[in-house]
Amino acid sequence: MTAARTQQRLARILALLPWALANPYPTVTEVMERFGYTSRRQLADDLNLLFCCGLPGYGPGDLMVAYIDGDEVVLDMADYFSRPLRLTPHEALGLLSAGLAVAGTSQGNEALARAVEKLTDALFPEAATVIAAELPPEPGHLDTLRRAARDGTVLTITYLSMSTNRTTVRAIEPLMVHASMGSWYLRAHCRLAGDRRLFRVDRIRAVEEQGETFEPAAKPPAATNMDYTPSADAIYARIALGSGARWVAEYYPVEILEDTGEELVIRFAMSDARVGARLLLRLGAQARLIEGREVRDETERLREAILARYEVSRT
Amino acid sequence: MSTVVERLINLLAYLVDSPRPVTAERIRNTVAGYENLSDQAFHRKFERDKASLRELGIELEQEATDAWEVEWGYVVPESNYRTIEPGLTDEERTALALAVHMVRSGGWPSGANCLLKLGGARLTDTDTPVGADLGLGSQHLGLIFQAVLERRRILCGYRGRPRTLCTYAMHHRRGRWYFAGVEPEQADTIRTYRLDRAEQLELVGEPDAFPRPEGYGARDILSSLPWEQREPQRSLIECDPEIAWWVENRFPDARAVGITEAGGTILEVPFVNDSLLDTVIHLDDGAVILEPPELRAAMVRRLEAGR
Repeated sequence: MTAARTQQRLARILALLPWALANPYPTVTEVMERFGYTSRRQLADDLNLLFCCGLPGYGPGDLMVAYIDGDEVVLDMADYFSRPLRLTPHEALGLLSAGLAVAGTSQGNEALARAVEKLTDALFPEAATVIAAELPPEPGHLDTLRRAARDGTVLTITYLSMSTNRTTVRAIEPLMVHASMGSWYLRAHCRLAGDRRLFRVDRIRAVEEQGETFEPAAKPPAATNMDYTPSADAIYARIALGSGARWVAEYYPVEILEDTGEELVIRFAMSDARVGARLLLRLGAQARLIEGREVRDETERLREAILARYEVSRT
Repeated sequence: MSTVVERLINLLAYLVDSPRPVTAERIRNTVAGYENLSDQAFHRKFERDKASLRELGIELEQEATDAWEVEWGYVVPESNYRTIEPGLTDEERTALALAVHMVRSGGWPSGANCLLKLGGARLTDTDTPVGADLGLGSQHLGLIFQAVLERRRILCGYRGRPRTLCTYAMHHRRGRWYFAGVEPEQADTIRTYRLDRAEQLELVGEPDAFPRPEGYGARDILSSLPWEQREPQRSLIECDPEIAWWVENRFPDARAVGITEAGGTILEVPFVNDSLLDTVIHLDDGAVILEPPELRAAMVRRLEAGR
């Protein structure tokens, strides 16, 4: 058994013990549901393990009594485990911030609001003022996308691409929605691209049902972080960042090549030269492109195209 | 041969049941699972076991076994146990479990334990395909939380300089945790810090080390961020029809005020600083700032700066 699985098993057993002692003879079903056992066998294994544990001497009078009797779980001779464990600060904060954040979304409900209030009152009366957590505001189509992912509904979306600012219409099979770094994202199988794609929900202009369904995954895919991982055909540029542009190195996954004190030299990877071009235009005099022909060309093209709208042309 | 889990349960049972501190030597000779080990092997195993328990929030402490303090032994102190019962109903526990589930799938794998400790919960709808990243992976979060609630000082490195900080509140927003506080020698200036930029964070000193300014709360952190402070001004931006809808949604206070001959939409967009230029640059040549003239000029300057 791996260390992580051992920890998980131990955590569950140590949580089950005080609860089962305070609520004697619970049903097998209730214990399984509450503590997330996926099979009766798994629960029986844990009880068998407890049956071999207890106090030194380890004779019949020292070991715990733990077994399944018909529909009931019997746990006895373990009074020393009757006190529930406290939450660690990290756990308490996680619980509280999860409650606070979700309560502020459309997924929140009255029960959650009450739970958060009780938790705050019981554990840390001051927490309500000094802790806050929020998720990004929910774009209009979020609920439709969430339901489509759950029910396996094929959708047609009108999407304004992040990289090109061009609109496309595509059929997709939504997998899950995910809030990260201030935005909501949709992970979906895109039939136009024939591959999995990530869409920013606020850039989806319209959603229509196709009247077609797909088989949703038994489990939603694990949400990975939204960091960009360069693919084989990525474009690279070497950029020197002045003091006002150093944040770029923290915000984007870049490789730091050199820090002269005055300038930070980075290697910036992108899927589309326009990403680098926009960044350079944004940074203005704060950054300098050292190397990267595609990015240089695109920056010049984009600069002149925008300036033309301001009726300024190259002199 | 007993498993790790059995050994840890036996160890805990013995410590919790014992009326007085138990020496390591006694544990070694008494608790099932530590038999027949060399000094070194026992030591290693015992240290690992203590670490496993610590990870679950069970902190073993050492106390003298008698008044003469000749011998020291281990205890499981009271502080490891819940003293207050939040009194959650099953429905409330399930609601919390769903919230935790959502946040877990966004990256907080150890999150399940906290609900188990509160008595578990029936999860009815775990296949809800929604995830949210609350940045709960950071190891420093528990420390900052303690510092804020207990009003304890922290020591950390921030922007290349070691600092002692009195922290007042913390806030998660847009994927980041912020905390606010002061350096004791500049107690009038409340500053905002980003948790992911704080290094080698540790708690120092006793609880209740400083007062929290009356009425100061987590919501104040945002208003102290520089871009949240100023009164917004109005700008007019002409957008191509393809992107106008997005700009209108992107700025909740924006509104369409006109149509151009070319079919573009003129939007009135409030702004507080130059960061509006960044957003407009991301629209490529699909948008142009019409007013105010200073903002328009700033845009041209910005674009020409790199020529």
